[in-house]
Amino acid sequence: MSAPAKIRLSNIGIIFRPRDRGAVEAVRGVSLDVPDGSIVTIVGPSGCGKSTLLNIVSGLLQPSAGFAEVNGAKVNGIRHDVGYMFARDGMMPWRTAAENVEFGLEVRGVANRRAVAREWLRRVGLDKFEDHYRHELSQGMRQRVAVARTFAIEPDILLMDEPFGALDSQTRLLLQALFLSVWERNKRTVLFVTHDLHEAIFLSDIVVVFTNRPGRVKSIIPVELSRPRPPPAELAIATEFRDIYARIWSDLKDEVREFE
Amino acid sequence: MRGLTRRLTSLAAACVMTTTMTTALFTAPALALEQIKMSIFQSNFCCFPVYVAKHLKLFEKHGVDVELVYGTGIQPANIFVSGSADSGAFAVEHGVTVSSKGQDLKLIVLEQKLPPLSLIVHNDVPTPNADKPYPQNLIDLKGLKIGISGRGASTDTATRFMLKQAGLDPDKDVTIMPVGDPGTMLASLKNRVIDAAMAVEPTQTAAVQSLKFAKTMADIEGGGGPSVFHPYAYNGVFVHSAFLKDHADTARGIVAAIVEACAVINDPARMSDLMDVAANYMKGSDPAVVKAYLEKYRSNYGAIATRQGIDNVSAMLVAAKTIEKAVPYEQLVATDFMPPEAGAPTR
Amino acid sequence: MADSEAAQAEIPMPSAAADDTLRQRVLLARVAVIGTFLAVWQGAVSFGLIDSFWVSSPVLVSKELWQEILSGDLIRNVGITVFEALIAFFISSALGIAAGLMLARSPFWDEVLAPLVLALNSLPRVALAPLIILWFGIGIVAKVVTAFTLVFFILLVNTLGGAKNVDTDILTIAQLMGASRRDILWKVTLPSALPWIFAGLNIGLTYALLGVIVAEILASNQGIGYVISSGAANFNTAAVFAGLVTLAVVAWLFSAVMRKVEARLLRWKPAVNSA
Repeated sequence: MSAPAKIRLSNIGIIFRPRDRGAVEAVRGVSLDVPDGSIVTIVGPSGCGKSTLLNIVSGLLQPSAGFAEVNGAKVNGIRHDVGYMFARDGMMPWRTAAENVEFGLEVRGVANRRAVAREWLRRVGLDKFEDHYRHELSQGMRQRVAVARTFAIEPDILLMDEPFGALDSQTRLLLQALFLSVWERNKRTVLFVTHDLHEAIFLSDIVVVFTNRPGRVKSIIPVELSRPRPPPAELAIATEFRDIYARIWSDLKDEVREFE
Repeated sequence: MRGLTRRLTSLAAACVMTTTMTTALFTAPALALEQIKMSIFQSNFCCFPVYVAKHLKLFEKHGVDVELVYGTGIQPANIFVSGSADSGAFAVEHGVTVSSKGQDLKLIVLEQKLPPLSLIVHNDVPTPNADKPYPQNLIDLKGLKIGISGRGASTDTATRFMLKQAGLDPDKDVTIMPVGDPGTMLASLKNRVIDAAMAVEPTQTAAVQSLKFAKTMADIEGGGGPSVFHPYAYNGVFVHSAFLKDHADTARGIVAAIVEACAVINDPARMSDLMDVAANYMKGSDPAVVKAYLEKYRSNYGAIATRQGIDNVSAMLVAAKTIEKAVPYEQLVATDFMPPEAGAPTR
Repeated sequence: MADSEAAQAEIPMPSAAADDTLRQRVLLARVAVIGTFLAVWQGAVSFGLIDSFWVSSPVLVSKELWQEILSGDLIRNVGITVFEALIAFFISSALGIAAGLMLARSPFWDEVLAPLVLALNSLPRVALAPLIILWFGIGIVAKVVTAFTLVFFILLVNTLGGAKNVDTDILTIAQLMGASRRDILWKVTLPSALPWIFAGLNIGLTYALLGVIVAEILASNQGIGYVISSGAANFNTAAVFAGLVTLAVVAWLFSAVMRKVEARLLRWKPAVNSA
């Protein structure tokens, strides 16, 4: 690669020291490069520190060892150019959908933020719901608001922590497709974390398999499927898909301890 | 076996002792005193005869054991009316009010004839009308803060009555402020929290005679102020009619004790006894002030409630719109128990 | 792109006609309950079961109220009490909310002051009323201070609770979006704590009135508390009840206004409103 990675993780180690328990090593010696404009997904068993890595990149957490870099500069302190999504929608219940999407723009003092917010809600198919409050929206709609909110501030990088995990399987597929179509416009760099292998393959350019705790990079598997990707239902039966799936699963299954 | 015998013996001895003592209690009526509760003000000169009777054991002498239940403001009356005390030593004005509302109570003996009240103002208050007679001289009170002991108390009623006689509106032309007991009233006047006060003894003797920071505007206890106070019935002992029926002897005992107490107060030779009573029951008051007050106003204590006095109380309350019509003497007073009027109206 | 699930929230409402019938029935039932109570009260007095000296009667109380309205006394006394209560409420609430927000921002001082706040909160501050009157006299200041000691702590504790319970997800997102500390305070913490604050405001309004009334009963020459204590002092039970009735009406009005304001400001809450 000629250009430096958009996001670089360099020998990251994370050790938690909870108050009344022994120290826990979440992650050890993780080094990873996320190329600009790509979607890189980390898959791994529960508790292998995947989410914690996202917190390192966003600056919410300091690593115990190693460092993270974005755009070649070290991460120290909470970044404000990051779009973050997780399984809980994080909608402010006291604001309407439009006002929620506006929040990031409001904080930056963007002048025509209402128009921008409206446009983004239209792109996620919620233009008729801009005055609805959180309790008037279904879980799927709330996540769509979250997508709109995340993209509206035009973030430099996106960090996604199992954002569709709380949705039922049908809605999840729809949201995955929606996310991808919105992403296609600017192709921002995304670091994604998920359990769902189908999701990982459908979305990503690269899938990184993590070991059990303490999490380390086990293997890096490129996903050479053309973009734009066909719908997930179609993709699932393609042979290339099945090959990649098999490769990922063979690495992953040793790490997943059943009935521990 | 020996242990058991010993235990049985002690048990038997205990039983015998208990029986003996209990029998002794019940078979010694001559020694037993009827015990009754009397609600009363604390550290207040209006009830001084009761303090005297208690301290000099006059109640016991006449066969009664009185337990005092203290309260402030309207409480002595309330405690009695609610039935928590068999008798109450409180303002006749309150008794008349209660009686006028159809409640049963009887005045058996008076304690104080004249209200120990005096309308005084701070020396710094300008009184251009001071040489005018009552009530014109009260005009100088316009716009001032006048302290009273508490709402509904005789100080309140008297103040409002007198202001109206002077042509002033008690609600609009002055500010009437409740300040509590005589000690607080004295301090409030001294610090000009209030400009004037319807003072209750020993406040006025302290403020005007001893500390000399106030001057008198209307000396009710000295015979001045409105004519409605001369004669009057200020403070006395009340009981319920039922009590008179069932405990007539006790009631007579109370009356006798108070009559004797008033005689002691009226006797110049008994001053040292009175100072003793004051030391025990008028805590916090300056003995010099107490002495000066008693010397001057001992004749205001008396046990007889005159007809005119009771009628004047009604007149005062009707003027204050507290009651609608006067309460007749026979309704209020237990005529069989009240010491009889001696010919000429007493002052 | 349509969502496969229907949007939530459209709970089937009763038809307008059914709604009206229900409201009518509720109103009728209320009138019946109050009417029965008044009838029993008056009946007990009229038939001599209990002396009006102790409990007055609806007729006597109405007469007393009417007299007070005619003389203008009622308006004057109610006006004073309401005025004092509202001033006390606004000042105490504002300061209580501010203090709560400040403590929420400083975990150190929160920890330092927590046991003190708890101790002061547990003290029945009504017991301080006589002392407050001694310090501040019998004017409006003493009433406001008495009410303040009650309302301030309620708002402090409630605001602090609400501010400390902001959803961490929302906080994280706000921070990552670049919200400054001021932004977070005004746009996240405060709106998030608003339900808690409103719970405190509801109680606070009641206690503001209570504090003022207590101070008025102890030492005042005007206000509803004065009417009540003056009536009691003159064994005028009708006046006491008249004062109590007036107080009840004022308190009810206060809470009705409060509920309207709350419905407006908290319309985003999913809880169902009661009639």
